[in-house]
Amino acid sequence: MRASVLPSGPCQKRLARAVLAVSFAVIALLLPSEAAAYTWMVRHDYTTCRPCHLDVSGGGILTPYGRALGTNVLDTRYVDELDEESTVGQPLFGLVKLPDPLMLGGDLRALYYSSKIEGTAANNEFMLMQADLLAAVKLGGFMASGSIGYAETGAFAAAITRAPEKNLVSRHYWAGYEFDEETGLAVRAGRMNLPFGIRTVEHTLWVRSLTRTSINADQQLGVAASWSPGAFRTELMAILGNFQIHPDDYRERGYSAYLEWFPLHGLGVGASSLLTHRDIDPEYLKETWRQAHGLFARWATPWQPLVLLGEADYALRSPKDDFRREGVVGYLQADLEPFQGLHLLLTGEANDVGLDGTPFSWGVWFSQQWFFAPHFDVRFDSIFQSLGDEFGRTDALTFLAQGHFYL
Amino acid sequence: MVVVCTWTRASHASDNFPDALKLHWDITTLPVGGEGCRLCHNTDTGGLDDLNRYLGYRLKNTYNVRRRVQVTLTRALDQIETRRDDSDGDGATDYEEIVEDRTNPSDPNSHRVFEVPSEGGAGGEGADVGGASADGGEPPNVEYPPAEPLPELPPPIWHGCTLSTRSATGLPALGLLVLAGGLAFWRRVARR
Repeated sequence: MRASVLPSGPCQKRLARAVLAVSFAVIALLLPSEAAAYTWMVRHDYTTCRPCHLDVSGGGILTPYGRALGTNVLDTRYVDELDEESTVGQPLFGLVKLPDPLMLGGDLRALYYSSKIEGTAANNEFMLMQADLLAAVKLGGFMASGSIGYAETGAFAAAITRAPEKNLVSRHYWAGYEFDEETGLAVRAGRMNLPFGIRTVEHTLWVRSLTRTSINADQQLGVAASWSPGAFRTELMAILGNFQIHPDDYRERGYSAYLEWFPLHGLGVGASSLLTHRDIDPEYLKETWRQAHGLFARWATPWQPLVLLGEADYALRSPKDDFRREGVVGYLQADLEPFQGLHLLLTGEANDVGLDGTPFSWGVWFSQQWFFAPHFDVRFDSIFQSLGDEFGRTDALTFLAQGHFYL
Repeated sequence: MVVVCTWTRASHASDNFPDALKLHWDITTLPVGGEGCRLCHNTDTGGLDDLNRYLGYRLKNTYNVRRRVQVTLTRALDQIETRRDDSDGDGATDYEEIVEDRTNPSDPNSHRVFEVPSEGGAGGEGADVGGASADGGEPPNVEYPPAEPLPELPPPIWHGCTLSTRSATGLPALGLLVLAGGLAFWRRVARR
């Protein structure tokens, strides 16, 4: 008589549930997305990203501490006292108890996008903006992390398949060693986010797109050293190139770094610097040097619901035997959390990066983000931008509605 | 998870540009196949890192055409027409190639055949010869200047891993892999 194919013992059943949960999660998350980084967590006295994220500069997979903290301070509470035995905030809703060294995560983000640029027809899209599965392990000082996802369109710089659309993407994969857990002294190697400025989730802000330092698809392969003793945190990365684009002439080499200091409780000020060279820039089709240098600040104001964030950078692109494109780009953001889980954000941005004489472009965002339940949040953005160039000025209005689920 | 509104096809970057060009120059078709993006881009996907065609290079670097901002394109087209730009250096202007000759302005090997008038004869078929004089006399000799050396465009940028094929998409492969792995592990657990 053949043995039943169904698991019988309790151990087997737990393992089987784990297999099903992981398989379902992976299949359900086959869309590309970016990891989240909530820089307004300075409100809760978290000046460094280390306790919550394995990536010392923020973003990416959450540590068990980060998950617990998210349940406590991120999501809207509907009861006065949380059930301490509840596992709903844990990975896979606590269906599976992961071994301590192992961390799992994932993001699924859907977006409705509506844009009206002056002089053009309105453009409306619904897209699966993000779907990534993340995994990490930390054994003593050794740590490693990786992600894989699916991009319906774009994100070519992170693609690992070669189709014009519907590609597999891998935004980050790295391994490293933490020499000192208290100060976070660590070295990592692999494909990582560039350490520069405020690692904000709004990857289309000009301060991120014009410096090419967003957490969307601007990751590079390199070696990074990080340290966060006391009131300081810093990371320096040697950029070896993006090996997911070819040929080698298009890859950048250089460095990126930041240093942040908290001179006062709740106030962090920092500086960033980036320099790269590539034999062929895909935009100018010429050998190009690129630089970005700037300052940033985060302030958890004395009024606890309000956090202010700001950054200003000088950006330069210098194609060989061609005009320099340079200018200043910056943003200022106010995050108001009237009650736990609901964020009202007002953001202003501006830049004059371009050829000599390029007029300023400016923009205003009014955003609402609500972490209404563990693992879920929604976000709405209304964006007005006035784009200036040598031919005049063009206005653009954009509306975004996002639904986000993280594993 | 809350999602909003109806599904629409994901659009490519600046997918209104081919239509905008046709509308601006009052033509119904473009001299390239597909969606018309290959006038400027290597593929119909578009994007700034796919702008490896002579006309695209000209629009972006000379006239600073901005992605999805149609007014910057129409301004550039006016300049191209007025200044008689010839992006691929084949002797036919970009405007002539797109509107009149139906040839590719990004391909120096794609252009009309130029008729050089014979010495002392009437004007040839090419209207750019200058035509007959008002009194019906012999047209002047036209000497075409030597063609300027063309700029060499670099190899196109591509993404992904070298082992994967250009036409592969990721979703089916990964889904099957995960499903197969899950079933195999389930079966192994069940046999214990």
